[in-house]
Amino acid sequence: MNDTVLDILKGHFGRDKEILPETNMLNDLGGDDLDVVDVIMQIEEQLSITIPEDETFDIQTVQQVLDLVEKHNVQS
Amino acid sequence: MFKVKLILMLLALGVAGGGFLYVKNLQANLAISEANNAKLETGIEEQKKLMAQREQDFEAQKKMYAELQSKNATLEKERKFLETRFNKTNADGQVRDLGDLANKRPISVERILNKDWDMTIRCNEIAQGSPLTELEVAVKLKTDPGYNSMCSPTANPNYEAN
Repeated sequence: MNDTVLDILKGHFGRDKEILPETNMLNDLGGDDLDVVDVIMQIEEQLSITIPEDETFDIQTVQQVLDLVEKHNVQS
Repeated sequence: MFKVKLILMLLALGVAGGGFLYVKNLQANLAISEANNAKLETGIEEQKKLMAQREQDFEAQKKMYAELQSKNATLEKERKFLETRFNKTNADGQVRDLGDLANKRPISVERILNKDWDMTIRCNEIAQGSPLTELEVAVKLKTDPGYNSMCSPTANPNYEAN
């Protein structure tokens, strides 16, 4: 798993939380839709990438975040 | 002899008359006592009814107080719930800045706030007595379709985080 993404997720949801690709940020980490927006914003800033907003609307799992990061990291 | 008989007769008549009057007086007193007794019994019945009514009122007040406390607890839960929604602190201690989020991800935040607005309308409906839907009652996870992000403690009674 991308270390930066993992670090951002742990910093946001809790260092003690087990974060796996299948982890659902809403159900498993106690987050809400604004947390998802926040996390993606932090990822964009730290990795210096741009993720179009319309691609982030229904994101819930860590795997979906990783896929997005991979897609836009490659592009940039 | 005749005189003695007359005196005895008069005495007997006097005793009988006195007895008659005494009994009449007793009967009158008894009637008064009975009437008083009836009044007392009516009074006691009324007192009993009053006490039963007071007990009922007290029970109703207790029930209302419990309902009020329960509503208060739900409102407090919702207040805390909303506080974390718009003023959440993440694990690293950073407080959510909704303005900053809206500035940098306007479409996402607008979409979320529009959804929140719809849910707030639903919260008002519930507060005005609208029954919960099956979907709302069935919610166990945030991703379930009936989840209400604005008043989950009221709208989703089976949601575990509540």
